[in-house]
Amino acid sequence: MKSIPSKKKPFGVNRRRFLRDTALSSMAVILGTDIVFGHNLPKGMSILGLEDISASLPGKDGRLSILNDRPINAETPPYLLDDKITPGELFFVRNNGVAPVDVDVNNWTLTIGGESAKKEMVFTLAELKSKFKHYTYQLTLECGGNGRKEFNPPAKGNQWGLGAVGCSEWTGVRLKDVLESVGLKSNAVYIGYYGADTHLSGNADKDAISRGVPIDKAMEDESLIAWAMNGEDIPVLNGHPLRLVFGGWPASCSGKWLSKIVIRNKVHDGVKMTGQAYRIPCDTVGPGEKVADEDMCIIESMPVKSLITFPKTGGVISLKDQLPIRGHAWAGDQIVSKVEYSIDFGATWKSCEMSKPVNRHAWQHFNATISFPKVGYYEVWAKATDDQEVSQPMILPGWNPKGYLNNACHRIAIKVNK
Amino acid sequence: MKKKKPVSYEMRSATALFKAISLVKSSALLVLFLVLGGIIYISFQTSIDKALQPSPEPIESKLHNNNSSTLDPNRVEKGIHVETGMVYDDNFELVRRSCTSCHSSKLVTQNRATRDGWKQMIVWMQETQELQDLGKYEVKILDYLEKNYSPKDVGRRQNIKIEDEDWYVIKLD
Ligand code: HEC
Repeated sequence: MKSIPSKKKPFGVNRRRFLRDTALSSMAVILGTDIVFGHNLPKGMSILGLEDISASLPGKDGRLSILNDRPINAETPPYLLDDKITPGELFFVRNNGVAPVDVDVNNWTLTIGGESAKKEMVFTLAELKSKFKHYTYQLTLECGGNGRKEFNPPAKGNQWGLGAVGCSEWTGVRLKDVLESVGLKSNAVYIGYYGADTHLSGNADKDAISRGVPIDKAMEDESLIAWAMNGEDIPVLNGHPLRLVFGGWPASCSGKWLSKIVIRNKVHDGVKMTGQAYRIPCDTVGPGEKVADEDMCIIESMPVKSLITFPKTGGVISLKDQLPIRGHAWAGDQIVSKVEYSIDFGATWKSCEMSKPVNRHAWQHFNATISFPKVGYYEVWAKATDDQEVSQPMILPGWNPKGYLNNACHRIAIKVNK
Repeated sequence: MKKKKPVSYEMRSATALFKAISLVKSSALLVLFLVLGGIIYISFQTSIDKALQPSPEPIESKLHNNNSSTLDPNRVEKGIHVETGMVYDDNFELVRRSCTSCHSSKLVTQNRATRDGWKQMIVWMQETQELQDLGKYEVKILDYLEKNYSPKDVGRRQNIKIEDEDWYVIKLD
């Protein structure tokens, strides 16, 4: 991977903290001390597969499924996403590196720079909050790899099921207001972010992740630099004290623990912008085909998708009762125009009632009431269609090497008894 | 972020060391950091070299469980090493040592790939994620991964899996 032109190093932020933490995390790798029970290991042995995964993650509900504890990756079972606005403790976590510890909110700064910025400027959190107008939007964030688990042949990475998605209410300032106050050169095409998380190897010179979006997306009204989620501090694992939020795009675009934004005169080339990360084949390929890096294209808007959040799969109901179902649907940069459900494996579809989005990129809510014709095993399938007439596939969409963009329709199992 | 984990002795002494250092002027601090960084680098290398040596002793004698935890670090159940969740098979110890220093074993056990697929992941980690050359151990590591973590053909979409005990009666109001 190419080296980054201007390295993150939030030295301006709090140099001492940064130096201490990076040295500590490198030492931790050697001594194995940054894990529960790590101090039991003989020195010189770097074994970190021993975490106590029964303990819940900081600020998170214990019912999240933990896919990986180092780095922390956890998803929300669909039935826990029933709220219209996802609570912080139920919001999924996809960390690529190690989250910063002891975040010093009072000394936190955001630097705006890059070759296509007219000048470099540093803002404290207080300055960001006082200089720019505040906005609050409900924005849907979904991991590009949500649903990866189902791909065959298997795709590399965390094996996400259904729940790497959430829609919370984010408060912050418009990215465009901040960028315009600094000044953009006319050759600006992309922005990239740097955050205060550190690389898993402990190497302080390496970024865990540094992605971004094209200028057009950056300048949208709903593209935020946010400090609050649902009116409270953003959960530590989701980027406290500051993060980007770009609704409808792979959540990896929305940099966490945000310390620097660079305005670029070319597509940002930070860590996980290049190679195969967050890319799909530019032209479709057969299952398992190898694809050269230069034939992979960056994922932008996420595809139309929906989730049944009530009832939980595995429900038993009696034939005399009707079953209410509900859930959410979202469609990247588009709007969802309808949601349908099927109880006969896709042979027939009935429409659901559904709401309009509160704002662009907010997920929409659907509900329906089902009467089952007779006893037996059923699957309830949900299928959303966007305003471009594009629907969710019922089996898996096109295979891709890294297993992104699985928007196959959600299915729950129901038994109807006498 | 507040640390929830217990602070170990090494951690605390390291913090104390850095508190002391922070009293010194920042130029001195930088020099110290560089020196320390050097030491860290060297010991990191040494630790990796050590970690990669096949262990001559059984794991039992290496791991002493003096923690209050109920987890026995040596327990193997149904062929799975309980603490790491990894298949307990030839070269287990080597793979654990080589593959769980940056991320937990869960990233390994979640994945399935052919030998070539695993090789590609190793090359990717070497090119982009600081994974070192695995030298003569690479073959054994690949043997283990291929034998225990090969893909199964699961078709285009699997059945919905629900365990018998997970069926529940839906509460309607
Ligand atoms: C020097 C650090 C380091 C070591 C040692 C290491 N890895 Fe990794 N590995 C990484 C990083 C960093 C990632 C990316 C993690 C993420 O994005 O969550 C990764 C990702 C992976 C993935 C997911 C691949 C993907 O495409 O996302 C697998 C599987 C994996 N490692 C297996 C292994 C195996 C097997 C070994 C032992 C041969 C190993 N790792 C050793 C750093 C390391």
